Amino acid sequence: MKLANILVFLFLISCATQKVQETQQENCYQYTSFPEFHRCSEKVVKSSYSYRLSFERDIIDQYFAFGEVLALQVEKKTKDNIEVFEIWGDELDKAVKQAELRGQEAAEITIITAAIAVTAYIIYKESRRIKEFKKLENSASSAVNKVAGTTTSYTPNSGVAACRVGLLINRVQGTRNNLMNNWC
Amino acid sequence: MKRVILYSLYLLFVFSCAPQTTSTVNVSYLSQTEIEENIRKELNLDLKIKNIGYKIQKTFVEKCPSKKLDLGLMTISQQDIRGEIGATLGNITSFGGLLEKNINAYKKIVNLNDNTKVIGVIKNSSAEKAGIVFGDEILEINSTKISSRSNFEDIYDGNDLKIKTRRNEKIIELNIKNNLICNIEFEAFQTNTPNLTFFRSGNTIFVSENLMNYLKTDDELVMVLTNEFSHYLNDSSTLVAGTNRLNQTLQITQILTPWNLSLAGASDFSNDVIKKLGIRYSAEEESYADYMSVNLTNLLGYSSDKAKIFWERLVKDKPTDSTIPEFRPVDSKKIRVITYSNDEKLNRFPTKEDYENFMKKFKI
Repeated sequence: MKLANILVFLFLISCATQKVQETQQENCYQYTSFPEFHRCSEKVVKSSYSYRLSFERDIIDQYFAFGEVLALQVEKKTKDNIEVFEIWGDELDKAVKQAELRGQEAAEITIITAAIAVTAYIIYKESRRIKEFKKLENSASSAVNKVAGTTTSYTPNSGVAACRVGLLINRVQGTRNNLMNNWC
Repeated sequence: MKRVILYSLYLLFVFSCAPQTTSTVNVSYLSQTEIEENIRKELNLDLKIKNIGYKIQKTFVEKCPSKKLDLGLMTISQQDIRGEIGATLGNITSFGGLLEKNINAYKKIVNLNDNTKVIGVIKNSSAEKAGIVFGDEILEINSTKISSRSNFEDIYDGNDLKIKTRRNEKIIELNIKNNLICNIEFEAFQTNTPNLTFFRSGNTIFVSENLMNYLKTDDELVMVLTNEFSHYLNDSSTLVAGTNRLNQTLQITQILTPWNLSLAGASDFSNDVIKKLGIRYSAEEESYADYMSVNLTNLLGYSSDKAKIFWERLVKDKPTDSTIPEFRPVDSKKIRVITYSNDEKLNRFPTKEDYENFMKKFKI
């Protein structure tokens, strides 16, 4: 019995250490090209504890598979980098719908992917100063409220939006995540 | 050995529990017109999948571990319908009139009488080359009277066959050379739920009717079939135990039966069984099958450029009624393998070495 406890403890320690190391190594914000950003965020999510233990890996895998379709289109120059950031950001709405269908537990893990999509969109917005931001904020607000179980209004400020998304990821992953480092 | 015992126990568990959760359609309530419509739809789907399946079976016959002789014919007789439903010769109105409805439907579709009728001729098969057409009445093969499918299969082994048929009251004798093809079957099936799925059970590849409708081109269907066919060639894990039961419930053979596990219910049940058994290809198996499917699609004369759109659309849509990811990983690696192998078409049958070199080159 004692041995079993020790083994479980060792397992947990090794996982936790690994997670911290991985998240420290990666900082997806340094990338401005979608393929690089996408692959970085996929690596972060897939190395997370939540992902590994999730029953919803199939759906998250499909989100990143679609992201990969977009990334390859950018690499082949059949789609524009900025346009793809926009499309990937729009995936949030779909993620929220999927989460609604699969219940609260699924909502939390699915929202990681959605949050990354939003964050990506925010980076794009911040750097390009695009006017069409209202839709994103509404979507982000509904996603955050859904997981947090609140109905608070969402401040229409991209920095705040990114921070909230980062906090959301933290809440799901249970640790400080690199995705929010530059925003909060 | 341990795995076999565990599988057997699991199978026993699953088969004993699954029927309780299966929603079924009581086809006895279907009207004569509905039965006829259903059969016509089933025939079209079957012919579509079998046409492409036959091309795969014929083109890659040398690569297959097991082969068979085949004419490329789909047939039906009253005896087949009675056998399928379990009725005796006399009770035409049994099973809520289902036997009668099936027979009447086929009387309308193909003018069914007491003999065996042709309800489908596979494209480029020896039957088509010999000139057999839909509605022909198969009277004899090599002087043996044909009255049912099983009867037909008994004398199927010869290479050169003499077939006596009747067409518009005219007796025609045809010489047919039997074709050697890969020993694998392709079946389309209906489900109660709008389920998008495809999988393999032993030597049979199953595609749900909903997936058939979701696929936009023949190229896409070819890529789906060649993916599963590649798993078959690569000897990937499959549901072997219980295959007969599964095939019996899924291969409806264009007849609406009254059983609890009839038609749509049967496919949901079988799908459920496979899910419960946890039959899922590994990432490596799926990746190799993806690589092969791109190249086999092109070798069959279809376009992998067009075909790969299916996977791209599926991950974009992420349909909630899809169980495809439950049987195989659908992730970014799959997209990379399909895209890059489409960029580097081989134009010959791919080997394991080709695949390994490809993976190294693209650092996947």
